[in-house]
Amino acid sequence: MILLENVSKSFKNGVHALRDVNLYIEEGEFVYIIGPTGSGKSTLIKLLDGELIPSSGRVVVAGTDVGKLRHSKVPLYRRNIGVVFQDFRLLPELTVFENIAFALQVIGLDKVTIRRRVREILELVSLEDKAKSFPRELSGGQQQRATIGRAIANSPRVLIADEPTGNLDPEKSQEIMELLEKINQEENTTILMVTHDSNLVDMNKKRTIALEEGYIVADIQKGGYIHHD
Amino acid sequence: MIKFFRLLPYHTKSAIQGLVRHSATAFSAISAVTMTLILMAMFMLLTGNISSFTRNIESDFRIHVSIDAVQGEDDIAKLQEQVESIPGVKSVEFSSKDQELAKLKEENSEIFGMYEEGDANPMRDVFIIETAAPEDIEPVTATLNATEGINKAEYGGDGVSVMVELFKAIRNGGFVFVGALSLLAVFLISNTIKMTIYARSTEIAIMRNVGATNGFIRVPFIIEGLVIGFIGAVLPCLLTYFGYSYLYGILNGQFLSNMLIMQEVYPFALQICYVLSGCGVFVGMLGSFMAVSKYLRWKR
Repeated sequence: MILLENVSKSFKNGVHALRDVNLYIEEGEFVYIIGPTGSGKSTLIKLLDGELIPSSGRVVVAGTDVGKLRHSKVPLYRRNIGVVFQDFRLLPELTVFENIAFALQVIGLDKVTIRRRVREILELVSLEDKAKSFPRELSGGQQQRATIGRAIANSPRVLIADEPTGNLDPEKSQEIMELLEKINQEENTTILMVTHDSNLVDMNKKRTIALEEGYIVADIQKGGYIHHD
Repeated sequence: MIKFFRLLPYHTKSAIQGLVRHSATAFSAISAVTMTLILMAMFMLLTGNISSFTRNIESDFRIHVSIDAVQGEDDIAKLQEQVESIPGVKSVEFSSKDQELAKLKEENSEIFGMYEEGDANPMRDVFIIETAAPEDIEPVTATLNATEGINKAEYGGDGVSVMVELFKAIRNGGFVFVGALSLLAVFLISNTIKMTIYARSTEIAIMRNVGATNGFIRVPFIIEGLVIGFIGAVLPCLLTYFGYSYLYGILNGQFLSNMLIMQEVYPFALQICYVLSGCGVFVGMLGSFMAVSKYLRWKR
């Protein structure tokens, strides 16, 4: 489902964010990406999302060579993947309902289908009572769930979550975790979750990939957080 | 295409939402359109009238040719053909001496009442000649004066032609100015709209994030530009129409003298209104298009 071949990414200012990364993730897998700040996690997500183009190597997601996409085709590719951003990126002038509906409107679904699907999603992420609220009226956890709802609205095959529990308390984090697991199991969505929440990773053990200074330093199937000394 | 029309209500709705939610920035864009269009309207009224003045004066440019009294009807017909063949002559109109006397009486009332038609008529048969261009008047007059059977050919004089040249220069200058102003308007408005859209560059990036194509993102913004341009054109149009009607009314349709006849309110002011609203709408859409396209490239 996700394939990275000898991927390197360096920036104009001389920073090497990723170095010769090789990675393969099966369909339906749930994978953690862990690593300290500046280890290249965000760059990895931006490469998968099509926001960045690799300096060398190939990034293939669901059969698409992401780095080779034309600017105008990037949005079309993104319809196959859902991204949960760390900074939420909800449209501030739209309500929660409209925000989720927007992701469906852009792919040209009809009103009735959209309304039905958005209701389903709101129920899934437990935001039924916040449908008419604007993002600024929501708490961090609620905004996070709204973003997850938007990301999964059009049933993407891959869901990429960038620190989805980053600014939540442990209890809320566990809720989000359970939500993602539910999506992974029920819709067979491949999930890639970037985190540095060691408790979460230890509690819900899954394949864990550790990045450090742009290199993959560990890829453990049985999971568990790798602690640095 | 079908999809475009199916989505049009949605796009229109989000355009109006955008306008309402960003009403302050929309207002500044509308004012920019309004100001520029008012300037444009003023110059269009000016140049339009000057070109009307010129046309009127030019049409007064006729050569008055009196024919030798001895000429018979056949000779006059021949002479007319001859005159018509002179290069630069646009039309030749014959007016008999009786018609000339009648015209004189009409213009000057009783004073000429003592003259009778027929043999006691002191007038001569005349040709009224119009030339294709004002420049032709002098050479044509010279040729006519040298032609046999013609008593005298006369025209208004050099002063008038100097004035016409001056008006033409002002009119051409005015057209250039209106052209330059339109360019400036596009620039100004696209800049203002760019500022209003800048506030929403994050919004555009997010739209791309969730899979909205560039075309899909553009449409509501372009509709917004259209609405901004149209609203911006309303005030200039009203000012043009009612302002010009008022001016036309108090000046009685003439500017300073009866030689300078103003363009009539209908259809002139109305035509300017069409041009203004067309310009507003076009410039608004173009400005929006340019601005969104810029921010579409902001992030991949």
